[in-house]
This record gives sequence, structure tokens and C-alpha cells, in this order.
Amino acid sequence: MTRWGMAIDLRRCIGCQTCTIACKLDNGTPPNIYWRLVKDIEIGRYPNVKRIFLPLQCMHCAEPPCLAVCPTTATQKREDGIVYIDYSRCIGCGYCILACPYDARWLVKERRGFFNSELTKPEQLSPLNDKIGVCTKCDFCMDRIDEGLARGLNPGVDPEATPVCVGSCIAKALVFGDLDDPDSEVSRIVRERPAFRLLTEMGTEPSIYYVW
Amino acid sequence: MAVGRYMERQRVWEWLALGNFLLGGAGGGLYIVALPVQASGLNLLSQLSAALVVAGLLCVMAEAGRPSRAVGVVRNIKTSWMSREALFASGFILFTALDTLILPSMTLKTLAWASALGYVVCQSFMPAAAKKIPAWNTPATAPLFIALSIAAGAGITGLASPAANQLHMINTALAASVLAVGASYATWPGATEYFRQALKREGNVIYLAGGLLITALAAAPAMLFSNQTAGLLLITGTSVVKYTIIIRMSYKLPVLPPLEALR
Repeated sequence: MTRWGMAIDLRRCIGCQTCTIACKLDNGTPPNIYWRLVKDIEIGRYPNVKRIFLPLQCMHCAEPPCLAVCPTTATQKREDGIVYIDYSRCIGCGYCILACPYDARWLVKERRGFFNSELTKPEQLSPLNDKIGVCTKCDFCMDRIDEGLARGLNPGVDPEATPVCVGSCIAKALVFGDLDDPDSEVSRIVRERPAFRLLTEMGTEPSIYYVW
Repeated sequence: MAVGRYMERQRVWEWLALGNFLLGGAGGGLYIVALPVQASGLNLLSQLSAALVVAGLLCVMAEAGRPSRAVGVVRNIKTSWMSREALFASGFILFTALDTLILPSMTLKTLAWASALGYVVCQSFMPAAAKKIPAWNTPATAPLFIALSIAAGAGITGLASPAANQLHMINTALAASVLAVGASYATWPGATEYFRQALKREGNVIYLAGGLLITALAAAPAMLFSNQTAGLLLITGTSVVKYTIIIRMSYKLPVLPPLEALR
């Protein structure tokens, strides 16, 4: 079985937000909607304090709480572990946003452009243009993955078949691949480096690993 | 860990969602209480009960981004409390309408009563499944909301039908239940730092305790308060508690890495 996942090297991330912008450009997300972003956080209490850049996105959990609460079955999980939203079914009730511990879901309330009320040409072409009143989130660029696989490419190795955030990272802090393949780079990193996942006490089994 | 600076309230379920929990919960609770105590004007109370549940559903629809797709809300009965709530609400409205407008029968009343109970239970489990909100995601949330909704229903029954059978005894039992479950909610041993922060911040503990105490007053001896006054106390107290939990304590769980992992 394939289980897509990601390793994020926190020692490499410089907080430049290039992945944030690449995601926004590729997916056409409206203002104030961030399917992924890099948070600049400080944790601990003086003198035991750390400041880190923490990239956040949908964790594509093996046990997604958003899927369990979704009343319309708009949230689905594929066999390869990708959690996505069938936008034609979503009623925008927001229950999934409250169930997701990771702040990874965004309700698009209105059609808005970045500059003024009239949308620019690229904004008009956004695939999210008609997705108003529904919840949205990262889908690991599953269209790229599926098209890449259909062309015989290897997601995580070939950039065209890999989530756009990964390809955009200037520090190579993001590694994508098959967590079930012990020979994949992502599996090797998670195995060989100190790795952790976020909020595992929630029982979500995230597919995003952070290495330090 | 100093967690306070990362705590902010959710902005997804606000006043309209509270409207559903207050109106719908009280509506379901009203039928649950009014039928067994044989309240006077039961037909009218049944219709009021259904109207309150409908008002709650309208609040949800007004808050949803695509209310026109609401019919699809019952697709996930298997795991979603919202789907279950919608199913029981539909059943309750249907059975009550049939019973009060077309064919009065004990069978329909019993089905409506069971649906009202199912509706209140499912609605009460909805916030408990919200893992993002530490003040909702507790084992005591659902029992507390069940008690609050039924107590609010008893309050309306007391206002509308003060001479109903054994209403004072029911009010006393419900007020005591709300107080007991509310106290265990506020002091549950598994509470995280985030839950405690949500309780402490901005006087929330005072609101919660105030709501519980107002509710508890309804358990006072009958010579102190009439059933109507007790009803008013139940409605007010339970509403304050729901408002405190749904609006005031709805801080989001911060997404922070474990500090020990970064050493």
C-alpha cells in the first residue's frame, strides 16, 4: 500500500514563506485563506525558550477527526491516505474546522480578490473561484500526484508529480513520499532523524513528520 | 508552558450556533418533560417544542455556507453527531406534526418523545467531538448539555403549565443534575492546561458558576419559588451556562510542538 506523507526539517526551514506563496499561486486560494503557512513561534518559558519556524498544513491524518464529523461525507480519505473535500457536497457548516486540531481547514465565505472588488485575470481563473460557502484545505496536490503517476512519474522524486510546496522550498526542508515504502527518502529521514508529529495525543495519526 | 498568549477564540460557530443549542435544545427538552408530566395544553406545547427545534435548525442553516445543500446533512449517520441530530430532528418534527395536526395517537407521541431524546443527546455530543476546542472536547460536555437542555425544557413547561404533575420534583432533580454535572465538568481530573486557561480567562469561571447557581435555585423548596419562577430560573441559568461554554470558553487549541522534542 502507498501512504503519502511528508517530512519537514525544522532545522532547514528559514521561514521564508515561499511554500505558502507557491501553494496560494498553484491553488488560487483567496485572501486570508492559507492551506499551508509557516508560523513563527516561541515556545517554553524563560530561560527554557525556543523560537522556531513551524510549517503547518493539513496533516492527512490516518484517523482524521474532520472526516468523522462531516455530516455530508464531503470529506473523504483515499486509500493512499490523502484526505480531501468533495466540494460539491460540502454545506460549509464548519464542523470539520472545529474538529481539526491543526487549524488546517478554511471556510471560503465570499468571492474576494487581493486588490479590489474586481478579480484579476489569474484570480478569475482560480479553480476555487466557484467554491464559495464551502470548507477548503490542502489536498497534497493530488491532481499533480495522480497525473504524475499516470505518466509513470514518481511523486516525491519527480517535481511535476510532487506537491508544489515541496518543489518550491529553497532550503529543501520539505520531503514528500511514500511512508509505507521503507526505501523512500521520507521514510529514511523519519527513521534516521529525531522525528515527531503534532498533537498526537488527539489520536489523529498525522502523516506529516517534523524532524529536528 | 505559557500557553495564554496563543489562545484565541474560534469564529466558526458563534451566535447562530448558540441559537441552535439554546432554542433546539430547549425545544427537545420541552417535549421530553411535557409529555410525561401531562402538561396542560400539551398539544400547544408540542407545537411550541417543534417550532423551537425548527428555529434551531434555521439558525444552523443561516450559519452554513451552502444551506441549499442541507438535505445532504444526513449522509453520515455512521459517525457524525450532526447527521444524527438532523435525522432525529426531522423525525421529531414529523411525528409531532402528525400527532398534533392530523392523527393524535399515543404511538406517535412515543415516537416523537424518543426522537426528541435522540435529538437532545446527539446535539449534546456535537461540541464534544470538536477536538480543536478544549472546553468542548471533554467527557463531561455531552452529559452537561443533555442535562441543560432537559432542564431548559422543564423551565418552559413550568412557565406554561405550572400545575403539571410532579413538576417541582422534576425541577429539583434536573437542577441538582445540572449542578452535579456542571461541577464535574469544571473540575474534571483529565483537564488540560488549555481547558483550565479557558475556564480562568476573562471571568468565565464566574459566568459558569453563576449559571449553575441560578439553575440550582430552581431546586429550592416549593414554598420559596413557584413552578413558574423555578421555570424562569432554569431557562436563565441553563442559557448562561451554554452561552459561557459555546461563546466565551471557545478558545482554540494552539498547534505547538512538544518542547522536549526540540532539545
